[in-house]
Amino acid sequence: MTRWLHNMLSAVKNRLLLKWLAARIPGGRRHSLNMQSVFIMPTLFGGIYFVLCLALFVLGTNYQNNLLLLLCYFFITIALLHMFISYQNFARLQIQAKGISTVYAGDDALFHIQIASHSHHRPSGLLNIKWWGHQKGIVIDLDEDKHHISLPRSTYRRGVFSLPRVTFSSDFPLGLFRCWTHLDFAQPMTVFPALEKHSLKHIPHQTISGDGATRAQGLEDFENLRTYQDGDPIQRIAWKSLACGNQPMIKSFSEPASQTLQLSVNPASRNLEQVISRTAYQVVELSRIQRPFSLQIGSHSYPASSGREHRDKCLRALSTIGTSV
Amino acid sequence: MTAIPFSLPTQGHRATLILSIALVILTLTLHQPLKAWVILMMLCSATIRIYIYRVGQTQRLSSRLINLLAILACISLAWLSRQQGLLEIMVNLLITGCALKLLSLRQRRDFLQLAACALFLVGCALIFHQSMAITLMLSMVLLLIMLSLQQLYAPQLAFKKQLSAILKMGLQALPVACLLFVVIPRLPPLWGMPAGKSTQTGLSDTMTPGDIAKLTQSSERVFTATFDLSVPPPTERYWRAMVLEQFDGKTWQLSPYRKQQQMLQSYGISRLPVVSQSTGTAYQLMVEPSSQRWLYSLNVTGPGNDSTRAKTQFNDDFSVSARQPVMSKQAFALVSDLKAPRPLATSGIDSKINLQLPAANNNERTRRWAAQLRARYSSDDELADAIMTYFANQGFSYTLTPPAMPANPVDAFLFDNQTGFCAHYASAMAYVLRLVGIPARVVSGYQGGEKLTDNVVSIFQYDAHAWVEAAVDGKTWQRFDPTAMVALSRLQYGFQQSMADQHADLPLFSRAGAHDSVLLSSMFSMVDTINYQWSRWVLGFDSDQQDTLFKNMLGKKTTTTLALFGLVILLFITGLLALYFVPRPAQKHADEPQRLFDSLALQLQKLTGIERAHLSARQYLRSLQPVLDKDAFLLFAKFVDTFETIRYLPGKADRKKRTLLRNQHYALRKYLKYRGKGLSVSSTTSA
Amino acid sequence: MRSEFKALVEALGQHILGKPQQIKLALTCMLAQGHLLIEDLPGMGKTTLSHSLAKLFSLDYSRIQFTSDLLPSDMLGATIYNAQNQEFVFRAGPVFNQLILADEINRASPKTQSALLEAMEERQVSIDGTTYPLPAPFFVIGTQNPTFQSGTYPLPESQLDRFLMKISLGYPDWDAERAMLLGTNQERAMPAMELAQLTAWQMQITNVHASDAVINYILKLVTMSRTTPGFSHALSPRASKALLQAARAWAFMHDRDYLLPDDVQAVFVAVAEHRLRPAYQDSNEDTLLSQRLLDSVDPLAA
Repeated sequence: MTRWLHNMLSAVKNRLLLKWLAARIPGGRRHSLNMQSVFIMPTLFGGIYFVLCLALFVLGTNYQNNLLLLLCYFFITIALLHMFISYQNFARLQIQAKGISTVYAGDDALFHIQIASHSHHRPSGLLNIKWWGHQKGIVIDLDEDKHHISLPRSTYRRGVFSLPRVTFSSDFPLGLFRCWTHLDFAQPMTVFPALEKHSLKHIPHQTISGDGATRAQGLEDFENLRTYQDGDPIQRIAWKSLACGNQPMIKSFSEPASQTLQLSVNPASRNLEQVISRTAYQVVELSRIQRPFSLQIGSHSYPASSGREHRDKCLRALSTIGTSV
Repeated sequence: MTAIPFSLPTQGHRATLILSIALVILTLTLHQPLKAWVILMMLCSATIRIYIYRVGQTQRLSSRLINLLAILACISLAWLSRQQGLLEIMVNLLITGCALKLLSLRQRRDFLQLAACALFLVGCALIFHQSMAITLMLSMVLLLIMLSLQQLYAPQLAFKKQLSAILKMGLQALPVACLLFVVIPRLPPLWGMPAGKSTQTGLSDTMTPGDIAKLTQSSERVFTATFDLSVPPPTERYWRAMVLEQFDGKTWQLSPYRKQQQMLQSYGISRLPVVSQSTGTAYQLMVEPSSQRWLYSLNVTGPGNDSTRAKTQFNDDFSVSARQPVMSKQAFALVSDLKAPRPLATSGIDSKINLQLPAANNNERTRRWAAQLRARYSSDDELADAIMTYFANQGFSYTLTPPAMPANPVDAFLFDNQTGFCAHYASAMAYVLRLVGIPARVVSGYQGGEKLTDNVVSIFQYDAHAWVEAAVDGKTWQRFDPTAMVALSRLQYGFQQSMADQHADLPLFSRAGAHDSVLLSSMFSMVDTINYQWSRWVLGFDSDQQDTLFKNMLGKKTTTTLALFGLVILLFITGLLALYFVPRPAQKHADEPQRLFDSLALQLQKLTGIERAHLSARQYLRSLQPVLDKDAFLLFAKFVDTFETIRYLPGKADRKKRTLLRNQHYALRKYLKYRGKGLSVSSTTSA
Repeated sequence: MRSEFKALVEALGQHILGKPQQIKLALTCMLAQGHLLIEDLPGMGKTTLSHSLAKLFSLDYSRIQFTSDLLPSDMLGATIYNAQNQEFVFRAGPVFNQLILADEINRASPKTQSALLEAMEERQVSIDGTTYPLPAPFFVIGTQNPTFQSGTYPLPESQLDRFLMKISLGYPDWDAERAMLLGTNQERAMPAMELAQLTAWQMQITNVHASDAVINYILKLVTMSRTTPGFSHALSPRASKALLQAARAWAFMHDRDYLLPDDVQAVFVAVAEHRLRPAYQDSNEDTLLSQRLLDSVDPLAA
């Protein structure tokens, strides 16, 4: 019961926080950090440091020791300067989204980020980068000459998601204060359906020009041998036949022309996810061997074509089945 | 990229190396209250760290071993705790802890704990040492600790940059810290702090002739007195510290009655001797830490200001003591009347205590001699003079290395050896006076001192002295210095000259030996002067000086002026911060065209919604063409033209072009601001 | 744009319809004294372009069709024994011309390819220990087929680097092709340029001023390709030199004696794209690598 209450409270808190953040740091491809978007608070070490200052003050007062008091004030001033230095350092960051790689569900997508500085001075120190709410992320060193960062994000199911906010934080220079920000890069992430191996046979054909007898030269099926002509590729010479003392022959292959395969998915199907995964596999495979195909999802159909663009279009369509997009 | 669960790399991890070096320097600086094995332990673990830095961790120390070491260290420290004060134990414990942590350093958390510990230890070191040299040393340690922390958070930053960043930070912090130091009001001690036991230095509260010979060899400074006017002559500079009234035949010590009185007084308000500020000699004592309570004063002494009144206690025997043991360098303002008589207490308790004789029946010959004296002289005055002349005429000599006189020490001194130093003379004389019925006591303290300037005198341990006070007339205490009878030079010229023939005993480069060489002595005096200024202005800056400062600056203290003052201080600090962190206009000037262009681009983006992104100036202009109205576009085109001329054409961009650019910038801004919206009609209608 | 160049581009545009940008780049390449690689399908007008260029500047022109059995000596020439004079005579090959169209360069064997590329770089030919200089303006237009075909030897990266630019003509648009089919404006005479004029221009290009801001921009672009993950082959110092040279020619063509970042941008894709290789095959990245570089560097930031 208490656990349930706790979960609910944290969910509410999270949502309120996100709402507030959305108003404070609106999304965008590129962010230059400023007063509006940078938060700064003492770290745990900073807290201990302030307790230390207090202890030094008490010691200095009780022993009437001026140097201890001076040291205490020095420490306090250092903390004050630290706050400004870390803000100044952190606010030099300019962060730009460079797109996210599209993956099949279950793989890790890589979110590419470019980090630059919008001032003459480069920011330095270690920078923590993690997804909103995650415990772990990656650490990069801003002093290295690396401007591109890939932040992995694991995917579980197909669909188009908006990326959560990314949290950047830095404790530079002495770790007394932490600067951080939560940035929304307004990037949609498309996750293609997971692939499930499935046979390519038994896909219904659709013949366009009436007769399926014409076959075009291709790579698929062995058709016959013909005599060698100048300019024919050497790999296709039928060495076996040549060795028998015959004239050089060329193996020729063919594939059915003007026939398109028709894939279809019924969104009302009971084992919808499996169907989608299998269809996705077929789409990928057919694109690989450059066979034209069309795709029918419910009442919506994608006309026959081939090529990468077509493949991506189909996969995207498959990944959004059942979602409102 | 590294994984987040942060474990420190071992080999080549510079942050740990720097931190261990800092800890070693800190330990060596702090050696005084430390046990030798604690120092050794720290050195060992630092060596291991350096080895690991160079070679890498070959095998990991098991945590069981480290825990075992920790337990052993705790036990031995607990065992030793009986001999040591709480403060020493704490410092020892901290250093031990640091050494063990250094061995088992694995995570960032460990590192931070270690750094915090080290920072605290720097503070602790300042309790024990306050000289300028040590302070400089500790600032270096502080710098190193900060450097190691920064190294932790920016491991790839070039070392030179790290160093300059930390130095810059330290230098920036210093003025603000000093300001806070001067302005923030001093509080009185919040509560009593544990004092060390072993660190007590200086005179001891018992005097068995033989003890002071050791002191004489020490050239540590005891205190420095700064007189408002000039320093009194050496014969007047008898700095009274303790009055020893209890004699058991060998040893003089504080009388139990006085101890009790002082204890009682420390709970109440002490009776103040009346010393007029106008006729008295005012001076400020800068007392080195001694862990003892007594202070040093001339003749009859009263407090010089309120803060001294609050922290000192004026005893019935005219001695002055601090309410808290002097653990760090402290200033006391005192006023002494050099001519005032010191009356005996009306209750008769003084004469009762000071006629006390040892119960033991030793020093037979002395007693007989006293009886003879009593019989010969009826007047007490004459009798006292007779004793003094006895010392002068009977071939007594002054030496720092008298033979041991274990049994009947007074007999042996007076009749057999006739050689000794101040303690012997004072002890013998006071005893004889008591035997003849004159109240007498031994006062131990310091005599003379070394003049730094006309009104500053420094007193060192070798100036320790003992003399006699006797109530010859039965009403007031009079000072007798029997040592002066045999070694007048010591009195007049100070210890240094008078001991010239015995200087072979002294270490070569000690201060006491320095008086032979002009160079050395001038060097020492320069160091003295610097140290004096350091003590006076930094260590001795107390609430009274603060008050005076405020008074001088603000005039009258009212709530308004105080509030205003606080505001001014805050503003000043803000100004300093602004100076540090607001970018320099000079840098702006270097890339003024860019700045102007950026500001225009921002304004145009707000207006049109078209971002410049990574377009060049010309491309941006072209992309704006369809949306801007004709005038705005022309203005912007002119601006871009000049911008390109400055940026890309050969030859230095001259002032004229810059002015032109600025004017065009201004014109466009103004146009966009005041004349309509700057958008073309078609786009507004279509939008 | 300079009127002379405008006329040139227009004149060339009569032969290659609807491709002014590519024509300009080709001219730029000539001005910058670099070699040009055209990657295109057959029949797109590669030959026409090179032929027109040769004619325009009155250059000696030859076309070498690369095949797998073409030997270096077929191209460079050979020493032949002259029985009459009883001595060896050097018979210069087709490479000894001012403008060479090396057709389907990736069909030739690596040996032949490298012989040509060496000649391109050194501007001289060594045969049997004797060095023969190549004619003064020496301009090679190489062509290759875009898709991987059997029996081809793709040029290695180190040799692609020798070409200043790579362009592709692509299909003409509707109107251009229609005009071509109708054969409407074929008649206007070509303005014949003096060869000396070309040399003079080439000299003048070095005087185009490159300010610090532009140099920095070039450096940033190059550095970006080296530091960004995603490029297995980054831009070499030769590439940055080529970039500067091409940008200068472009600026000169546009009648400016100073460089703008725009000049660098205009030639960047042509100069840089063939020198870059992606580190990994990105599943849905369709933009050109060089375009990605351009997008990630601000031309104004100093």
